[in-house]
Amino acid sequence: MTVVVRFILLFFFSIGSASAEDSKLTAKQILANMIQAMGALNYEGTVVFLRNSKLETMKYFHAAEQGREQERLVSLNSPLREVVRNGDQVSCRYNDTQTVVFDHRPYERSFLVNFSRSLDELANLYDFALSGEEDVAMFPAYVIDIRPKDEFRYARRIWVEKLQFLPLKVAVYDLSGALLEQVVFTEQHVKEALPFSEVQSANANSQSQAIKDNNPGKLRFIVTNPPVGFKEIYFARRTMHDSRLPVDHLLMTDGLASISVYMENKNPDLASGPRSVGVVNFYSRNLDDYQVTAMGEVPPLTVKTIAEGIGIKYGSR
Amino acid sequence: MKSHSRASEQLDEDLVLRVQQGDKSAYDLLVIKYQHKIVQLVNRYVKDPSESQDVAQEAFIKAYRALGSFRGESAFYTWLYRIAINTAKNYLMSRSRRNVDMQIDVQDAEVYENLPQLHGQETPERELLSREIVETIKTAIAKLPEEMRVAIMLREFEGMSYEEIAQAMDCPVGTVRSRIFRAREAIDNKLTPLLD
Amino acid sequence: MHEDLMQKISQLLDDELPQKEALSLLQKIRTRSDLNNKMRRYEAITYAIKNHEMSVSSTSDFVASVSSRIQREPTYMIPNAERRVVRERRLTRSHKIAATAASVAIIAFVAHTQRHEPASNIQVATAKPPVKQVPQMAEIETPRDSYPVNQQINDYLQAHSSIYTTNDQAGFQPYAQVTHYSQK
Repeated sequence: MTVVVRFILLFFFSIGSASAEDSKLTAKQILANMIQAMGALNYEGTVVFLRNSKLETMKYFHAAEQGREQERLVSLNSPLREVVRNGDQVSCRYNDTQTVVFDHRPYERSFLVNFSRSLDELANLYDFALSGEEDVAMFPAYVIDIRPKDEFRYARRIWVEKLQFLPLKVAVYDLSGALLEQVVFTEQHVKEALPFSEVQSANANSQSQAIKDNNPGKLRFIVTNPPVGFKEIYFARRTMHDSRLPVDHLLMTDGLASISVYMENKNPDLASGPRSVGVVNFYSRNLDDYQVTAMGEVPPLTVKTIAEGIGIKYGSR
Repeated sequence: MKSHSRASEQLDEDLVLRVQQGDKSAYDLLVIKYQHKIVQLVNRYVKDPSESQDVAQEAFIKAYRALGSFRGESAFYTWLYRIAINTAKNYLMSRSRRNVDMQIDVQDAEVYENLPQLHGQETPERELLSREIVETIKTAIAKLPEEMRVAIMLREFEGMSYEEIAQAMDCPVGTVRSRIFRAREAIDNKLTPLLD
Repeated sequence: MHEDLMQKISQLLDDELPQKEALSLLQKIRTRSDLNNKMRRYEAITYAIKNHEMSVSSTSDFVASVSSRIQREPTYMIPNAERRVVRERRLTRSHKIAATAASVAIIAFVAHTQRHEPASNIQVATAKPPVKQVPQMAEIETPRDSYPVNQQINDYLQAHSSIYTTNDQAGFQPYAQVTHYSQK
């Protein structure tokens, strides 16, 4: 099969380079095209994640064929690892320990930017604006601002490549406009096809943890008065950090920003109150015998509001 | 302001001081430092590469003449930048044949903001060369080793300082310095056949 | 051309060369056309990367042309001009005016009569902030952690989003998961 390697051949001249058709596109249309392209196209490149003042470069692959999709990230720096998303399943293989971890993540769509609700629904919470055009990695791109309508979520800016509508750069900003996190392609190529990676199955030399499908029972807490737009979408009961007792994990999202709420037995190592790691804010508090923590890529007030609105559901244990 | 820009400003201030104290050769160094930026800036208005050279030279001469009253209330380049814009605008006005016997005051320059610009005088040959050069640069960048490409992209597109890039890439500043230089050299080597 | 000099030119263009070295380099560039050409080419590359088109470069004799015209201009003699800029910008406006008035009193200009460009308030248009300023609420004091974080936080991050499994936080093995789930 012929592999078509695309390089941008669009050059800017001072006047009249954009087609009339381009100039009519709204921010929402561009985002809709982007979501479509992200799922339908085969593309690869080098992605730089800038988080917590730390930069990591990874190779990125997205394969799509007849409704089947696979996303793959391969680290270029130690520790070497590969993260693969096949539909709902995400696996992470660590080369040095030969460990493979599988997880079920039905609510995630992309390693780059997650739109888990329709743009029409998101429009109740965010304003979309076409702010201009810029080059990213020498590709011309639309600059789309996604501005929150309240103080419970962060703003984002997405640079969407003009020909194929793939995201070239995604940035998250705090309430003051300071950059929190960024994902940027330093190169990107669309291909006619890309191979699907077969996720390594367990063998004698590797360890793997697989998902067990079971009925977790009912959530043992409720979240009262979450900020507008945040809805519960997923609940899991997990074993974490060598704890013998399971940890309840509730995921909420407004369609763009997600918040996890955890409840487990009290842990003296985790102080109550707020903390943050990079773009992620946490808020923990003790509730009877338990410790509840709300965390996510949202402002501190949001996780605090959620954590303080948690109530135990007695009788559901 | 980041410390690296402060070093640049300090240098400018020292050079301005030397000019004000009679050392004309110090002004040559300021011209060397900003020649490219000023020619580019002027060309945005004049849109003629050959005439931009003359207008940019004129801007430097005007700046020299005004240097006696430069008090350092702004950075030297900021001040020079403004003089260059006004020089370009004055030139455009003279080309449009308006009655401009008197010199345009800085404050009045904005009145003439909407003067029709002269059409660009790009020749087909120049346009073709421009495309070839840009394409060559793109190809050269794509072929760079990963760490060099990331470093130069962070510098040129994200405007990060060497220190910031070093922190982000978890490597010494000297390594960043070397990567960016080697990236530029690799690109320049590819351009040599086109430009020579 | 010595590679060290070329690297310094690259640093100069990025404003990353210490002042003394920058001065020394500029002096070398002034007398060596090969260095001047290298600088112009590096600048052209930067321009092309950012703007998608070839730059209009200064001609190779640009500096010499300006220099020869400057030779015909009067020479400044401001013997008591002193470095004030960095300090002055920290001064209040009234201090600036007083300092300026004192220095103006002793300026001597050996020249033909020249018309000066009036000193102006230089304003350079700055780029708009990237996002609309969202009204800021009363801030919550938030201790900021840096990596590596503790195991519990790390596990929370990894369970929250698979993007955090891409973190290269050595020493944290993926936690054992036996996951029971219910999808709402």
